Amino acid sequence: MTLERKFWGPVGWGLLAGALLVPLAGVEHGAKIAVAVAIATAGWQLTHRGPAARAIARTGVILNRIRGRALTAVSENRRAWMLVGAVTLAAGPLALNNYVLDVLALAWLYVVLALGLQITVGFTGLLDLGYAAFYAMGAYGYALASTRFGVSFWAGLPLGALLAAACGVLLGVVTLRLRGDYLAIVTLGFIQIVHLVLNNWDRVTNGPNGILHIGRPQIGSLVFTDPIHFYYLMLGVAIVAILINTRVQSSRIGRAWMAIRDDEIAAEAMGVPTTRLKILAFASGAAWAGVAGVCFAGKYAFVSPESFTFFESIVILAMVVLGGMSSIPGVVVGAVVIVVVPELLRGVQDYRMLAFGAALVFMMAARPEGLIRRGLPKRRPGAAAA
Amino acid sequence: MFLQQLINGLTLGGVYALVALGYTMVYGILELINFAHGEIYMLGAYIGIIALGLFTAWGWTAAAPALSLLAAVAVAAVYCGAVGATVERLAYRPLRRAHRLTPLISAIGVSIVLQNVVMLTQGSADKVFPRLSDAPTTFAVAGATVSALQLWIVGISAALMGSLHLLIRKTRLGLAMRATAQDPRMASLVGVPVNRVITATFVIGSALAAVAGVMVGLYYGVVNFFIGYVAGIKAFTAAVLGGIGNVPGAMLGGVILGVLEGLGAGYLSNEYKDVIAFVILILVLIVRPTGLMGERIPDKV
Amino acid sequence: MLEARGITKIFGGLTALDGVSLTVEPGTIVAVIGPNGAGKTTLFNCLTGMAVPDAGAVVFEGRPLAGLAAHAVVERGIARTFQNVRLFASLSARDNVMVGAHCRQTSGLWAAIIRNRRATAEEASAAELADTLLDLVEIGAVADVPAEHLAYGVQRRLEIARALATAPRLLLLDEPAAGMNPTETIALMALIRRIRDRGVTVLLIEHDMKVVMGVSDQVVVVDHGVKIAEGPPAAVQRDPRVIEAYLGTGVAVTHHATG
Ligand SMILES: Nc1ncnc2c1ncn2[C@@H]1O[C@H](COP(=O)(O)OP(=O)(O)O)[C@@H](O)[C@H]1O
Ligand SMILES: [Mg+2]
Repeated sequence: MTLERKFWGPVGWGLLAGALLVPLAGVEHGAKIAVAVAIATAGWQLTHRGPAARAIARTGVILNRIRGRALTAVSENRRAWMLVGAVTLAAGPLALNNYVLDVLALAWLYVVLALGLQITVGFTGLLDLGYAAFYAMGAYGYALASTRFGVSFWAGLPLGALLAAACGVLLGVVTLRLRGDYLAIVTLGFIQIVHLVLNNWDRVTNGPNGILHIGRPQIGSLVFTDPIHFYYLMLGVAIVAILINTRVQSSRIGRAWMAIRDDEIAAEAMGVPTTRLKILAFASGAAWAGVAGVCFAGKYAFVSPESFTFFESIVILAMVVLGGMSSIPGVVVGAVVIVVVPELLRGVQDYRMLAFGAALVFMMAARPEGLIRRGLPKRRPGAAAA
Repeated sequence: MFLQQLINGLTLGGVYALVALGYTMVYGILELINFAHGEIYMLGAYIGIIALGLFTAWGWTAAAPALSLLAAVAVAAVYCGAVGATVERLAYRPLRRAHRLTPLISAIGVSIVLQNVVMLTQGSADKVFPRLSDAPTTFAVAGATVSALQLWIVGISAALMGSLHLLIRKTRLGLAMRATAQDPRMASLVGVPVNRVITATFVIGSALAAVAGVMVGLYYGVVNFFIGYVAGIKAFTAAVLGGIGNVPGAMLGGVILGVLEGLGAGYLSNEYKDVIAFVILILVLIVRPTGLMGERIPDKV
Repeated sequence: MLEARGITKIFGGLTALDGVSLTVEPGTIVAVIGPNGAGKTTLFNCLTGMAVPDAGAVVFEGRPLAGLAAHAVVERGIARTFQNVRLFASLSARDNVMVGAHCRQTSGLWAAIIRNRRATAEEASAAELADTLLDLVEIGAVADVPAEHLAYGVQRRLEIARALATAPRLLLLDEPAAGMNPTETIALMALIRRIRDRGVTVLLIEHDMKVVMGVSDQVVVVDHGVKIAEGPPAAVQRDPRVIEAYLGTGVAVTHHATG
């Protein structure tokens, strides 16, 4: 044990990382990485053991207390703070340039997506890796309805939601009986198949070239074209999504979903019709993806298979995980962080994905509850063998 | 035509089976779908290229092609075994007691990391495998051609699967692995060093995937940093097809999937070839989630 | 009230239950006892729709339960607890109990979104019921604590409250005293009687003979999947077959055994 500890100290990890990288990256890079990993590990250990760790913990406690005070202050003057927030969100854009507005509109779009997936994964505990397929249903559904039948954006929104929800029901019915991780794989297969079909069913989807000239949203004579229009549109949709999900989470339905997540067998034994509720969760989550898909198509007036991949699903999943599964504010923050941070990191473009993957691993090890602590329960003792 | 596709399918099937074994062994012991396993296979292929490149530069491949192939396979196996053990230690072990979804997401993270490490260090263009001989040896069998490489692949796969079977059935390590798979807590109570068994499982599974990676690289001639994803899905399909957690099942599933794909590629359109695996996967999971050879896993109450 | 006839359940080659019959009269407390692995929990699973018996029939209040999913059995009026506590770990104690009330509520997704008056009233009364039940099992103080942070004894009580929230007429308790100390056990006996006095019939599995002898009107003894005796507690205690079944496993009936 002690021997292992000693070896797996900073030097051990550094050497290991370096050694593993030498064949791929050459000796020089390997050595650099070895040193970097050793320093990082040492830093990590320093902040987790010894006096430095205690100091950090104390700071954390103090910060937490400040945060608590702030939260009480906010909740005491809830009205006032909400007013401040609303004014900032509403008036802010007037002072922002188009690039920032574009990024923020995208962030709100992802808030809607993440909130939808949160219903399936965060509330109900059904690991859906094919969520982007529902996103595609909304986007392609509206793209076709608009280009072929001239359906307007506003009519497209409920249509897209319904289409995606219907697919959600279908997938739910088919996969219901599967255990958790099998479900993940089937949904993965689902997005893969949807992606292949979008790419190859040329007559309908126009293959890899995608569909152009999709109708943009329009109010009276105002056609939405500028980033600021979409900023407000997406902000509105996101706020509606936040309100609805908050209400549903604290309702009888939301409670039953979370019961299923915590212990499906017990939920069924307590009178919760788990099958029906799981389908409902799939459909509700998918409906938000459908809405988001219609918005996407309306914003860019163009859709192509590239936007709807397994990886897109993973990015949305990461938002939910980062936000802490059950916490709605957490997931909103998670979505905004994951959209905005890469924009800030444009300088190190090449390493973005690497950092993203590493962050997933690190988050799971260091803080599986997400940024905001209201996460999944621990595995029941003994459940490993169940 | 039929025979040719059958032979090609059998070759691929052997490879799928090797990768599938890693999924099945890890699942059998940890109930974890090791999402990063496909990436290990891809890594194996790259290490194979690098090793063969070195051997060519040193003049070994010209002198003893078969031996240098075996050496490259061995290097890749050792390297990937080490990577597998590291991944387990870093990304999965801290999460043993966490919710089921947690290690799965961690595994996805590992998979992204490995892909990007390879892309950043080796470039995103296709990598060409050094050729071992200029005129590949082929044999004609009833109108179909079999290359020496195909024989090698089937031979090595079969030998490795046989050895693994013996290892699991006849050795102390195999006994410990079976005990841990049955009930990890009980196994540790009776003195099985569970952590070491799990490490060994990852090392063996990763080494097998590496072997598969090198062989497939030679077979197709080129590799890319994203081959691990689809190969991983296919191997996972093979594992599920045979009954996940079931070692002989993974071998059977790999061969069946390889043959079906070989035939499918011949008779269906090539664009939808990759769909075959997914459709089979979904059908099996829905119709018979325990696979061809698996037993029913009851929910404990 | 409940009548099970010839319940048989086979797992692979193992006959966990072999033609067990059982009658529970309304308003009584019936105990099922037997050595570990006798098939008691399996019997509960068969009664609650969580396992499908290979033979036999269960009739509850004159209607057969055959083919009903577990959640539908709960709607009929049978609730249960688990031998190894199975709470909704991340939900608060109150929410756990409110999940139990789910099957007696009717408002759906749409009502939750528009929050109409009926849904609000329904939620309020479910919360009120939850608090009443938490008080009944004497853990009202921890209503807002997540279940995973509760002490073991409290968790067991919470399971009972959750089951009661489904408004059962028959309550099945699987080893409710397991892991409790003598004081807790005595309080539990009082609780079981209180539940019976509220008009809920109780069927319980228990190893603790003090509990069995103290609360039950009828005792059913199961061994190796077969019912070997039944009757009033005192008579069963003297039954030579019962004594042998227990001595065979090295545990005497007169001393209490823990599972
Ligand atoms: N789902 C299952 N699959 C296989 N065997 C089971 C299952 N559930 C229970 N058993 C077996 O049935 C027998 C009776 O178990 P159980 O009803 O739990 O006993 P008890 O509750 O009386 O201790 C045991 O031998 C047990 O191993
Ligand atoms: Mg039992």
